[in-house]
Amino acid sequence: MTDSIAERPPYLGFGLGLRTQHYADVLEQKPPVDWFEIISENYMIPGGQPLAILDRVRADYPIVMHGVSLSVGGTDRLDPDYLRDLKALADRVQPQWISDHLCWTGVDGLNLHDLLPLPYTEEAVAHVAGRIRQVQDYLGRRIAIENVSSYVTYAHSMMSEWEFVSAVAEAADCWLLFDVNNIYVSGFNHDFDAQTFIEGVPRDRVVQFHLAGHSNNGTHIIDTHDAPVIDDVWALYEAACHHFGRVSTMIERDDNIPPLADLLAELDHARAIAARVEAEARKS
Amino acid sequence: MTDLATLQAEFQAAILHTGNDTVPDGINAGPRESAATLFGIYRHAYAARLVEVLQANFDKTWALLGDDGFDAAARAYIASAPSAVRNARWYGDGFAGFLASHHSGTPAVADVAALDWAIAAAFDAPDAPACGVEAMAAFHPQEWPELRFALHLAVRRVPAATPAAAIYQALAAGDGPGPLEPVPLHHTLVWRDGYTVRYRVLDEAEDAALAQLAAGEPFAAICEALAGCVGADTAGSHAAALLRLWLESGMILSVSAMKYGHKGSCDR
Repeated sequence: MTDSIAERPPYLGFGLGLRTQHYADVLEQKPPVDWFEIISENYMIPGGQPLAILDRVRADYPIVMHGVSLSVGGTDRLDPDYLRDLKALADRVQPQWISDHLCWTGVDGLNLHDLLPLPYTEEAVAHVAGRIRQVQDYLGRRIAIENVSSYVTYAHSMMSEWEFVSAVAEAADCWLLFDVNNIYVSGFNHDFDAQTFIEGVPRDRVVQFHLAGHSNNGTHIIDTHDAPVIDDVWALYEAACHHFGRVSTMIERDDNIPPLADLLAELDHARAIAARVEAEARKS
Repeated sequence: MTDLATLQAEFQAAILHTGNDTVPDGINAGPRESAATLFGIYRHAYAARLVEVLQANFDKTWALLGDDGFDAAARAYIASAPSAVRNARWYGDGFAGFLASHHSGTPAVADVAALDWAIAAAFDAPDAPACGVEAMAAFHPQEWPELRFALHLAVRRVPAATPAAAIYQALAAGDGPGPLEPVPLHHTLVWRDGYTVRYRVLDEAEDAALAQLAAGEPFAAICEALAGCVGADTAGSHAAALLRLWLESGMILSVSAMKYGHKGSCDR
């Protein structure tokens, strides 16, 4: 694949995760959301109503596919059945892009259904980048890889997380899904400066921002996606907008799902921040 | 094994061995918490996530057992059956079978779980256009004995020796489960009408007839099976009535009469 700005996915504006609780509102009200992100696995099913609803939503909105079980950092071979089903869904949905996480989810034929951290080593960079390239070759498109929240670090890591993320993205020639909440969570859990993370990631690779809430247990934060975005994460979002410029942004809410109107209001807050940053950038 | 493969194998083993607090080598303590506490987040999340997955696909079993009972059963299953599926949607395929031994004193639990799973499977079964009753007009009466039928992939005959469907229905209505005591072995039919999943208990005659159809046997065999239940005189009309019901319910994908060289499938 060649590097070219022309291949960069389009700027989509401000989106939300498509959740079953909001199906009726989305279909009937066609809310002012610029795009929806789906959890790919929720629609990697044989048939039935969820896929029919997805088709209807797709008719009205751009869709981005976000997976949770590619296990691109795993040491089992890539799962050919999973890739086949992912491609079939992509053929149906025609998403603006496809993303998954910079993590592993299980080995030895088992799946822990979690986004498990990788050690930040040259071996892991080479391993993951090679697998991302395999996936991209199979899908015929670049994918976007997301930095995860983590709770532990490895003694033999040789670089920072942002150096690792950047090295993988360059070696794999993939896009990045920059999760602003995750750098806040991991920064708290591992005592690094989130601003340094932001500045350490290549600007031209970031095609999407994630925003989300979390649970702060005092000594550590768990990435629960069950609460509104907090002020400190909004501040980081503003910093990310300054650094990366105009990037498609969405709010991930996976649990304790509020009425759609609440998320629309939260999305307006993201719009206001991004607009403020753009206005400041025009002035300077 | 590479360093990365070794690390992942040890990390995974420490998560799956939930009975101890072992932390794999090379995990750092955090700035404010021990390595054991922080690693424990992953160990906790694994089981908690799969419990949620089982709750979603076995919600009437959950209602029947209550929060604590379901949690205990789910965690016992998770400990016995590490997930080997890529998509968590399919974790739980063996849960009803597990409950048959785990709750052997209350067989209704496993029967309700089997119904939960069949209904979930019907919900996202493959889409395919069903035949309507009008499809039968394509066939000459002489062809009927040899007609064979393909069932929609959402159709299931779920066995139970307890009143599982009545329990399911009562729990769905928010009521108590009602009697759990064993009843004679029977089947509950699960099917999807459009995008709506439906279920009903099959009587002996319809069950026998549907078993023939599902096995790929021709209409004549369906009539024969019915004759054993309702008598030879009315078996033909009974079979025709059932066929009409199945067609109207969207359960039949295709009809064919191969013997006469008439591939009159009603595939649309």
